[in-house]
Amino acid sequence: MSSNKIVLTSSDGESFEVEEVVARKLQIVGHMIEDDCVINEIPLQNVTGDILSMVIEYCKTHVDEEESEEAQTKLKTWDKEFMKKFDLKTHLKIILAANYLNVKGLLDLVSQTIADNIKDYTPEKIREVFGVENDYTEEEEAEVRKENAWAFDEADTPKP
Amino acid sequence: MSRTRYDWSKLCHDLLRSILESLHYKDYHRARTVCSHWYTVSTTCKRPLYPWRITFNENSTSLFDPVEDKIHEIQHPGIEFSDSEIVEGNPYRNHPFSFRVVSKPGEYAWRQIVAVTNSGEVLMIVSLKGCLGLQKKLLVLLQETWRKNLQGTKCDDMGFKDNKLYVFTIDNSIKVLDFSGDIPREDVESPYYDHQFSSEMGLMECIWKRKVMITKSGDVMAIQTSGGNNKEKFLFQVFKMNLESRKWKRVDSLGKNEMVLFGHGVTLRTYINGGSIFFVEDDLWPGQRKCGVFDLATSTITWPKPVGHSLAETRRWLCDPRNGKTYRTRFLGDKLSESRCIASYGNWLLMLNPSLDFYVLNVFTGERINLPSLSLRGDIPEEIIEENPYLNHPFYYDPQPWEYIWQRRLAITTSRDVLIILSLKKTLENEEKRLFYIFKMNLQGDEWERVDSLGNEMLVFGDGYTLAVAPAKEDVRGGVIYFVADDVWPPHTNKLLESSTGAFDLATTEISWSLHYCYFSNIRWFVPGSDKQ
Repeated sequence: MSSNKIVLTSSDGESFEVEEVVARKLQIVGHMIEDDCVINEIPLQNVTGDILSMVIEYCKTHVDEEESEEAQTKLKTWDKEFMKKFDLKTHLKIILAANYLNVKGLLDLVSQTIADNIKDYTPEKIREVFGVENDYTEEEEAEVRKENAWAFDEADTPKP
Repeated sequence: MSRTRYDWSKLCHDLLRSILESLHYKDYHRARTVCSHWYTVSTTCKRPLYPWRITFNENSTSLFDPVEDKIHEIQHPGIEFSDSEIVEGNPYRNHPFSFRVVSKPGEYAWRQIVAVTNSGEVLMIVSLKGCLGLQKKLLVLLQETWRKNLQGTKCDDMGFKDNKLYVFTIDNSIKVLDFSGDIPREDVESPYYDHQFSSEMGLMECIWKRKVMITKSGDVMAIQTSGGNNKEKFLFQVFKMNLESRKWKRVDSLGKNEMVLFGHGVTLRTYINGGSIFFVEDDLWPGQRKCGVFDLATSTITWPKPVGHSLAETRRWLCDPRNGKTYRTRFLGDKLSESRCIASYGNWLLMLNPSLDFYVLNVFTGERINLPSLSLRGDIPEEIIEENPYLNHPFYYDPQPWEYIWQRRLAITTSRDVLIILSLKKTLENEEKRLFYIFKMNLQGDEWERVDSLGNEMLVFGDGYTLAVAPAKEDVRGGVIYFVADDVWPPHTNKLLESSTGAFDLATTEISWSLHYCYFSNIRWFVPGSDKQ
């Protein structure tokens, strides 16, 4: 295993020195290495330092993906706890970063976390929480709702 | 603190899709109504396809999503569903015996039924993707072809794919009917022509059910449940013909990423259940009462936890054979728990209600399309209100702690009295006894009371009427209730192969069992969303 160190630099100039195996978890970096660019320092323009440090923390934890069930369970628990630390806005920043840096596992994790957070929300509540504007006309919205009326009239639907 | 509002509606397509794909079914449908951008993105989502189970209860329907591991209850007082009948634009409404239509390449049937009308006509009903019904013209052609090509052989099962109907006959031939022309014709060049299906059977082996199915790639497979006398050894076997040697060989996989709902005739694409056979109730062995999933590669069965009360009460229609009048009880018509689901296609269920009316129901939207009645005499029967002595006297029986009611049925005696018959189990001193109780309105006409005799009449449980027995005959006695195995509480041990039908003697309260099995189920698998793929 390589013990090369690579320095990742965020858009606001913060630098992180990490092992090459960790940096390779960021596929954007992995590709650069495979493309034979011998680089020791990689500037990452679209990520701020606070978010990059979170991504690196994730990658460090996931660097040895063991097959055993026990290890997998442990990782999943860690993932959950890790995600709990952040609010919705941070989740958004992380998902953008994970997309840019191309970290598949983290992308899935944040998607699932956000999905879990909007579970049981009404559309009104989702709009409010995410600041999305409703651009439907009344008729259009009724039409869309009708496609799956069942989703809206179940007894456990929380009130908006 | 940043005061920026994050505009999630502009979140890039892929990320939003990734989030929407992580949502469970119901939340997904809520989220897509947030705004038009979200809706557009949602249409590109790949929703996982996997079977749910549906159970029709008295006042609700339970949908069990095995991935979310959650039961969704849909309340249906009955009225709502009948209100949502699609009348305008229902092309089948005014076409008696109408059922199905034109097939385009790539379409496939999800269910086929062979039905016999009152006038003795044999109808083959084929329903294709997206729509149900049939043009009478096609039907007639179909009948002729049916008779000509199959020459009286009985159809055991069918599958329809890419304009071809594959008929598995009782004598194990696979007939292929080509529907691409004006007139369906038998494909004599089919590799299956004149090569009967056969499988080697062990000494103690017996075959319970046999079906045909067509895979995505167009391979014909035979699928059967086989076992010894011991239910533990029942399993599914899948066979495919080697197109060169024309020999049928057992295989241990379906097509890649394909699964099958046993009896549905075609395999379905799946992301998570490849090689699985989903079956209900007695598909695997007679008298079995649970849904299960069979993994073809490992020959193992998974038993998911039950949903709702599968013992939901079923009331029936009743018909007086002497004057041809049909009676319905008050709420009989539209309650889902009284209808039987005979097929599913995606979110749509083909239902048969107790009056033998077919309708298609989307359980998620509540939409319902009534299909024309297959039987009865044209006019919709009217409810008799004024002359009905039973109208204001609902039947009620409070069971003792040791009595477990299983089913109840109605019967009309030869003197036009209405009887209510309960099938129940009585548990006393560790002994279980299966019994029938009969109730009749008392002479004052205000209360139901139990009677212990049928006089010289007998009845078939569920048929709805009693028959007088001529006193001269000794082998047919009055006071007997004839029934099938499901009419009584199932035994703990699996003895149903032997104990399939029975006769209950009211005088001695003893049952004598005989052979002959008959069954139907009201719990189904269905695959939400598969009609939109």
